[in-house]
Amino acid sequence: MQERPDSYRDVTLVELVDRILDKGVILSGDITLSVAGIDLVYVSLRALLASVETAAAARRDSMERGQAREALSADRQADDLSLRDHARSRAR
Amino acid sequence: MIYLYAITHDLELDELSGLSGLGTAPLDAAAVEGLTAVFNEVSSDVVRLDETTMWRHERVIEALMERHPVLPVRFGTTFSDPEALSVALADRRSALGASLEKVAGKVELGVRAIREGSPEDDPGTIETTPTTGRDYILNRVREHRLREAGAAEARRTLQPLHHELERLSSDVRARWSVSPDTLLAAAYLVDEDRVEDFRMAVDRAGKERRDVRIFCTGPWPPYNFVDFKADGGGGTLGTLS
Repeated sequence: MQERPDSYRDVTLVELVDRILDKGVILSGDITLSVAGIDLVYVSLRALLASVETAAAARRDSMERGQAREALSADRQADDLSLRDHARSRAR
Repeated sequence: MIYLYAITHDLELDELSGLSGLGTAPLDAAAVEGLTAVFNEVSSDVVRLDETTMWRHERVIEALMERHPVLPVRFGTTFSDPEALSVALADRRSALGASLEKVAGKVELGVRAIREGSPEDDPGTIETTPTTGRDYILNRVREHRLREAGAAEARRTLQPLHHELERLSSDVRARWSVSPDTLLAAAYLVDEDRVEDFRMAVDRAGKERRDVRIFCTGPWPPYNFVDFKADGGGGTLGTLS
């Protein structure tokens, strides 16, 4: 059979949640959900979405934060001035 | 109260014997004007939004789907008693019947294209290390623009696959740019005998890409294709948003 990446399971769960909570037949019954469960699913969904969809972005951000620290410590005094420069150049 | 899983037709009660849903009560079926509703008796505390419970809901519908056209019902739908359910079904009898006909012999397949990549393999990354705060900010602005351009380019390059999959489908619901990294999240309504062709098309496209991972999930019950209001035209155009 074909090889499945680890994240396939996560994607499948996201796809399931996308469907069963948001799609499907809606009849005029009641929606009954355990409140404790709602917190649970949102917490785990956030974690899931972070792992599946934004892992790359998180990597990029942490690299950028690293660069930012270097840039700021190397050139703290010039910073205010150049930010104003940048604001002016954008305003034009 | 009773918990509703799916609407189908021509179901024999003994087909439900091996299946279990939420809670412990056996599944039951009610016939209403040519439709069959599959449900069981539950207490409200078993309708929990957690992974196991969501899969229990899903598994019941998937089992029914093997032998019948089904309309999956949204998770958490309950009625006080079978009479309330019968009234709700009778109210929408014709729309539900038409939906059942539309999905007969078809399944839903999901495609999700997720952008991959770190600054190193991002073609737009600026490599010079900033020496001033101003350079740093300018670099970030440039990087942001290039990343946006990269995402737009990636979406554009996904179009041929989307069109190929559209041709293999009788209906489509596509959402583009769901998040910065999810370029496409789409559902396709596909004939059962075209599922393998569909999967192969996705696999082929996925192997050609290093910048995007393309996942094909399913077959799902046709959750995305039971929305009667959206069915007006019956066309195969996805929503581009």
